[in-house]
Amino acid sequence: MNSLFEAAAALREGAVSCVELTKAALESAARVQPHLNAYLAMMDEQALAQARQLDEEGARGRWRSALHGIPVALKDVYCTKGVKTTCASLLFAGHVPEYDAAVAEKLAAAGAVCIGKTHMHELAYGVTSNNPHYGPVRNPWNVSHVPGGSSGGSGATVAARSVFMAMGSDTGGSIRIPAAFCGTVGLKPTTGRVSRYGVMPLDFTLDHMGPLTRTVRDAAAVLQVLAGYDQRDDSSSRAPVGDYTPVRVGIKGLRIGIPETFYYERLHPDVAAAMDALGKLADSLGAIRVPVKVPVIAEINATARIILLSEASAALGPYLADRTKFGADILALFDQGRLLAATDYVSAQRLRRIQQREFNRAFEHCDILLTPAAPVPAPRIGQTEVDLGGGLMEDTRLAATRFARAINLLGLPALALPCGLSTGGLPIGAQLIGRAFDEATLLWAGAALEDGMSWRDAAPPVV
Amino acid sequence: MARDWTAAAAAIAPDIPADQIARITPSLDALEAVFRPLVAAIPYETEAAPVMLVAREKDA
Repeated sequence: MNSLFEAAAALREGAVSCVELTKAALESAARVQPHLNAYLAMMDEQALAQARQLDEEGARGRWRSALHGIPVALKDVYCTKGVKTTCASLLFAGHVPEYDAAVAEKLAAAGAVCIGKTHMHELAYGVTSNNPHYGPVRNPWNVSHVPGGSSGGSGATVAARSVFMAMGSDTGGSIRIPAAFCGTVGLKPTTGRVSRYGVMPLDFTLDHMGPLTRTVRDAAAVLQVLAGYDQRDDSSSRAPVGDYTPVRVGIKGLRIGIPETFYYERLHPDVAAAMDALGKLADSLGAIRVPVKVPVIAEINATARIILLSEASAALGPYLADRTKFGADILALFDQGRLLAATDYVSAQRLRRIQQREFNRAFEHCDILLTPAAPVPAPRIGQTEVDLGGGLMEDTRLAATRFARAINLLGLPALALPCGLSTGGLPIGAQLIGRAFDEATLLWAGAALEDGMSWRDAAPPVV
Repeated sequence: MARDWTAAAAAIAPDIPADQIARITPSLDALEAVFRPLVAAIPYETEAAPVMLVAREKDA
């Protein structure tokens, strides 16, 4: 079964039971764990007990949602009642929440079966998931490469086909980057669309919650369950929830904006080739590619970095007294944040208002934007600089977040979807960016493009 | 004018080791180089967007 929808259909037809599906997921996750290190904790007993209950409900004809009986996983930032939630940090090594995050509540109510908590970059503050305390997460396409981050375990376990969906969180690309590096779909919804309640925060105004899945339609089904107002989250929106699934087919006449600057510059040649092929695919489906002007994205990225450095250091500042509990990479970021002035932070939030307004003008000429999700395929574990081709090098963190970070500041929805493999056999990801709360168009377009790609059934070596 | 990060650390974060200041200075300087001109150009009346402006505007 290649997708959540196929699994859901098999469950309803009686071809497989929730218990059988859950056991298969647990066995797969355990089998590849020595190779990928994708999980920090497994939830075998709870998962099987829940699956048994769901089988009983199904036998009575009660199907909770499209996610009924579907094995899933949660990044270890989501609080789970009675189950350790560590943020992959020594600070919270013994943290056992007394409540569930809103996302965990909604998934359980919809019948999804959580089999475990996925590994990640320490405190969700990085792009490699190379964790100094719990070991690196590895990419199923090549275990000497990173899966991306910070939701690296979620990307790895979905790509390895252990689960049909794993939740990530995204502050500067942490859903979309692992999706791109692992060859999965990753959806960062509009700010306020999915509740942050019960998620251990990195940044109070940039964090977003969303799924990593095998297909775009699967992401739509998950968003349908998760979207909606939550009074427990101050950023939660009352904007009406759209009809995300099933997504429409065909994109004839859709105006796809191609930014004239920044997003197609300094690309690895394999990424450039894949994006070119994807653009031609869009043409062949009847979409209209439109060149569009966008603001200076490097400036938006700088604004986002000022806010992230400031807010993350404020959030974790009290814990910094014991510097031995932090990896060197994130300690450097916390220290940077501590040296910024309060006026810098306020100025960045003022710039945010201006930059949101300016960026939204791009949508006067198009329905969505198409960009690469990252300028390079997954770097090797420990690689501090990436080769963009021709000997042009860039810091790994800055390169990985180059096309993703601004979108968190802007609050817009973005969908990462696989669009090919590099000459080295690593996935390449594209990014669709939409208007606020218009996830439906992103998912519609993403599904149409996905249907047109021939490589989508390719599986990584580690499954 | 570049900021003196060592002086800033001495004033507000004296526990940051000197070698760490040296390590993070290039990153802070590079960020400053992009950010400072933007700050200088913010119109006086511009208010902050401290919470989720996109969501609030859509709700309104």
